[in-house]
Amino acid sequence: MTLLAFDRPRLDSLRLAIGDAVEDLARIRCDDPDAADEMLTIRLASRTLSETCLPRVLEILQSQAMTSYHSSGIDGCDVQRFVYSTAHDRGWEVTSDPVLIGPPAPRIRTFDEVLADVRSGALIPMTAPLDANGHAGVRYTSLAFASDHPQPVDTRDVTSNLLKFLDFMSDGLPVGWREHQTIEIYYLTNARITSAVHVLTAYDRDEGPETLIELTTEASASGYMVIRTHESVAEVSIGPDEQDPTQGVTIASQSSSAYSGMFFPVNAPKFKPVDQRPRFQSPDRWTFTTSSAPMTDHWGTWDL
Amino acid sequence: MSAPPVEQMRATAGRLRALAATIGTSRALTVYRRAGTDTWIGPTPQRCDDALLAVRRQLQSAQQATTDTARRLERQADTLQHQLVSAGGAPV
Repeated sequence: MTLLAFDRPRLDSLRLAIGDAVEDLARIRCDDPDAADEMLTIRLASRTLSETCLPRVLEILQSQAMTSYHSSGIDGCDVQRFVYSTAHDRGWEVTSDPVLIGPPAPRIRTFDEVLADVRSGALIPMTAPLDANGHAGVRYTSLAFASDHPQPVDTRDVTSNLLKFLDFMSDGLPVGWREHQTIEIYYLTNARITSAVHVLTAYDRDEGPETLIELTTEASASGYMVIRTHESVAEVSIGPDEQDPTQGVTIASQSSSAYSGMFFPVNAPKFKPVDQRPRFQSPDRWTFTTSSAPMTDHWGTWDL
Repeated sequence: MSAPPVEQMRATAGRLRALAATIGTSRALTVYRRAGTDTWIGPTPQRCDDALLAVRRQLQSAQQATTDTARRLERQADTLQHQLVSAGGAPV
């Protein structure tokens, strides 16, 4: 991760100063042909200030500054070490460098391109989490993914025709069954991937299993998250509805939702031990195990 | 092609000098002072600082070019006026 450090009051002063400068340049007028080149220079300067510098300043001022950070999470180059030590010495705020850093962003594949590359092997999924295979006391792992701005590539309905037919036939019958399956693909930029180690024991499904934090590792990687969501609703209804005679009155309904998926990184993640000191971080959005059923609520299965 | 009237050349030079003066007093020339390593540090801040200094250089060059053009026009006007006076004509 690339860091930048800033003094908020001074940066806000810079924001105002850039605004004043743009205002001054906008007021400069001269229609004389002898000044045409100079007026073009002024317009370009104004554009640099308003379209390049000011957005960067605003983005940093509006960013969620880290409440703390640790040296293992920063690049090893001298510049980043300097940023780290300067921020610490001056009591400045630190945030991840938002833009203009590193190589240009890769072109994001389309939905069909992702699926084609998955099938052809051009995109290789991350190594699956370890499974305890149902043996009590045996260790297993989960993979959790967090990303500030997961970019949706597309969503497709993959409900089979048979299930659609069942859904259609359920209308007007006393017992109905509806299933809906979708595939969503997201592009994650510098997602945080946490590989947590657990021991298969009884646990609260809401709380989740206990994590062996000293064995937990994390990495950062960009890539495609392919999620298959499965939603089903079973309904029991009686008689025709008074408002709509074609519909029954539902007296019982049971719905369930589960997801499975895989992450296909475009760069190989390098896992490192988790630093346990407090720090700002985004919450996990997807957590996977290789169990045939999710180990806990809101967890998915590593499978497609 | 007839030479432009001396008064017109002087008027243009005057407008260009006013433009140069306006550029010189623009706060865009001094905005870089609010940036630098006393304000922020990092790759993006460095690029923004470079951009602010580039803007300053561009504006200073534009100011200098405008001043030079104004001076050239004034010299031409002076020369033209001198030639007209020497030729016995009335000042234009």
